[in-house]
Amino acid sequence: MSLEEGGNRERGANDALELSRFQLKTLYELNQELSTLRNVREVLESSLLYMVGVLGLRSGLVALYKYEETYPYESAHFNVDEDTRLSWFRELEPHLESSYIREICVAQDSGDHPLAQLLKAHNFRIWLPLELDEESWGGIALGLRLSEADFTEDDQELLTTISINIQNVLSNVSMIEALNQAVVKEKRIRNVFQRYAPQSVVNEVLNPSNEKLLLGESQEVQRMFEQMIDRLTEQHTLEQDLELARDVQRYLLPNEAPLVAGAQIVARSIPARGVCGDLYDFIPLNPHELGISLADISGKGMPAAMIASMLQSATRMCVGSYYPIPAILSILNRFLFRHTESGRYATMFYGQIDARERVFTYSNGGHPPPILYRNGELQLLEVGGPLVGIFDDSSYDQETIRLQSGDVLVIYSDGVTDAGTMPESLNLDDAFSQERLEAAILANASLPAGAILDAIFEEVTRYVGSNKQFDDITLIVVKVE
Amino acid sequence: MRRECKIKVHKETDLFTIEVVGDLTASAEKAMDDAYKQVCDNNPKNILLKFDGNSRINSAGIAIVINLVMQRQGKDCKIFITGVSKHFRKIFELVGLTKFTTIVDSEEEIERL
Repeated sequence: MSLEEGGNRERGANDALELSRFQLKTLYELNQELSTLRNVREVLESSLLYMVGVLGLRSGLVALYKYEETYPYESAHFNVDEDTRLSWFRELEPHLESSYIREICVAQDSGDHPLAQLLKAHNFRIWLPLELDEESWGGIALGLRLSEADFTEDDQELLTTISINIQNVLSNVSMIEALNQAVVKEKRIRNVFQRYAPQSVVNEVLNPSNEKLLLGESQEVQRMFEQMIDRLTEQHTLEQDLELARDVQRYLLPNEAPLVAGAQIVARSIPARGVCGDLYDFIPLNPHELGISLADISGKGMPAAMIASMLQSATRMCVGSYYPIPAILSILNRFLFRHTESGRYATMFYGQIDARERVFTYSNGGHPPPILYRNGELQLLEVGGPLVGIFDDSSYDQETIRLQSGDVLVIYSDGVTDAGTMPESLNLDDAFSQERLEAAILANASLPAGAILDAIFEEVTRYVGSNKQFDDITLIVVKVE
Repeated sequence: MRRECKIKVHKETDLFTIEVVGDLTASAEKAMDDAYKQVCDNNPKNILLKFDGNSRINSAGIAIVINLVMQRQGKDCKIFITGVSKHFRKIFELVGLTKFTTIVDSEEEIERL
């Protein structure tokens, strides 16, 4: 060995030693830092920063998923632009059910492996899975190194160690977050309770010796909530019932329509007497797909609000489980039939808009048919089946409509078309009517969705005049861009 | 003991200097991002990251430096680093940062380059 070769070898050994020390120090510091963090997003961001720094990476992305969901519920990135992120999430989707998604994948060593191809197409080079708990999992995709060097076995070992630490910390932090959310929920319920329940019930249920309530255990909170409803049902006055139901309803209705690329979506609901039997909901499926539901529960007041709450939860569960739309309505039909007293039912419309593919698929369970405006023509969305909850075993059909730019979809409750009539009246001669609704849509279809909604409400309000509003009025307007 | 990171930005002729006093760690990310934005908005041709000679830079801090490097990629901008210890010079080299930056002993050296 020449002196020069000997010198190079010594420098190499010193570098390796220096690097090892730096990496060990990084592991120690990352653990220290993670132990101080209290929310999932901070853990992801911080971990990514350390991984990028310790290996000199150009980019990285970490995302957490719920099992059976295809879009992450939390993510963080380093130097990955929005288009690449969206493309990555979209193209990873078909791989989510595969077994290899739960294994480390190094693009340089994996040839034509489908995940390796996907990594390379997004300038990533390595994939590390995160096993979190029974409900969620995650993955880390890391980019090319600044040095363009391959990931060595030592690098992979280091990253695996870091990912195990992240898994442990995330499990703890998720638990803390869930507890905090339960405490917030409990506070809201307490506020409602203390405002409207008779003092004797408040004193009994909110007894300070009840440690479980103070601990914020969600099941116990739920039981307390049910107990509260029972007590109130026994002792309430009609006004208290309505006030409480209104609070429940406010809690259930979405604050605002989610943003969907390629479509404008707005909604408004005005209850007839303080509380709505109508309930609409938006269920995001991914950035360009959205579930839209509108149900009108028979009856009014607290019982209708509670059924609406059950129906909303059941709908979200079915949608989250990726049942076909007709199956969702069938399940909800049976659910309502079997879990509510006789005579309780709902009209329900449920559809999913895919603004990127420009399709709308729906099924109508006895709901007033939504109206689709296209180039001066109107079409009624009538395909579906019977009222939801009226028979034990009902089946439903679905229809898929190709959407075009400028299409306007108006989903409404019968409170709109029946406005101006007395409750339960069979004489609809004086009603605002479907004809007037259609005329309002035709006259305003060129406006943005929000303006169409305002215009229809204005027409209804003008028509009803000073007469009392007897039924809930709900409108959802979707305009395709 | 960790030293709080303070960041200042100044410009002399065509050189923008981001002066880092203290330790560069994750807690400095926001302040550094603000400094980068302030500098990058001026479409700089030369940026100097000036450490105080005793700065400790951990992995998160290195990622923050990489962020600047990535932001200026393909924008005809030279990035210089000064004021880092021999140890951190070596670390910068090992993680590949020296491929995109030039480490100098002093600001005067930039003039000569």
